[in-house]
Amino acid sequence: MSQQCRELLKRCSAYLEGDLDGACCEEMQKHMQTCSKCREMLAEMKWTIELCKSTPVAQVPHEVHDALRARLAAARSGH
Amino acid sequence: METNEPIDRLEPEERALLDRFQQGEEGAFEELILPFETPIFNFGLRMCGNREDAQDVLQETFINAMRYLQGFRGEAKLRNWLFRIASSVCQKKHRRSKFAPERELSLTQFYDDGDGAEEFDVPDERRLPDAEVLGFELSDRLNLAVQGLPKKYRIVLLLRDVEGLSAKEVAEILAMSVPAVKSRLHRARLFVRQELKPYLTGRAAS
Repeated sequence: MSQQCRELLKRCSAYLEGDLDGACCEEMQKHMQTCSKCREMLAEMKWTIELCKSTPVAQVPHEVHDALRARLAAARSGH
Repeated sequence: METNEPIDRLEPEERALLDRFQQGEEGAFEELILPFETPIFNFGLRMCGNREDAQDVLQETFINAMRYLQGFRGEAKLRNWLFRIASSVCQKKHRRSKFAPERELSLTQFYDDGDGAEEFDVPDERRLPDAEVLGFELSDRLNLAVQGLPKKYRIVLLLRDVEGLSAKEVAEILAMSVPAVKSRLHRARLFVRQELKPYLTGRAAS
């Protein structure tokens, strides 16, 4: 892995979140024009973040909900 | 410029319920807190990796919320306040966990990732499976990857990328600096990407 690739790996989250200044962004974009591995890495990072965002939400099972209500009721009554 | 003046971060409906609770109406508690049952249960599930512990996290979080809500002034969003409690519960719980021993993730461990691997002709996101329409198989793999993260990285990834809180909110919840949150988050993302890479390669080749 070249030094430039390492720099990109270090900064790719900052790049994706818009935390880098214009000069840094340009430098990264210039590097990616010629480095397919870094383009791939950046695409995979974006994809990983999207995947996390779209994680399915589990419904609370009825028995868990009922146990919670019972625990709260017990706490309220001082038990 | 930030100020130290107290700010009410509650939604109007939450403020009304909180006022009712603090004036002695106990029933307002559940109305106020129960909308967060599903997010806190899911957070516990992803932090702990099993339903029993997630149930404990949910119960402990809400019991603590009941205990401390009387003194809550709305200086944080209610959701974030609950996540702070839940994070604390998870951190205490995980001291006894057999999962993912605590260790540091260094950037250097990701440097050689992909060396020698086959390159793709179209190395952009178009070759990647659509994250929004994938089924449970990938979801399970993601969960395993997240479980493999040391907890201090896992908690940041879950709050920021799964729950969608801002880096500043995560920093407030975990009492960390924003740069420290971003540093942990970056390493956590690299780790998860690395764990999912074999799956991605297989998908792309098929």
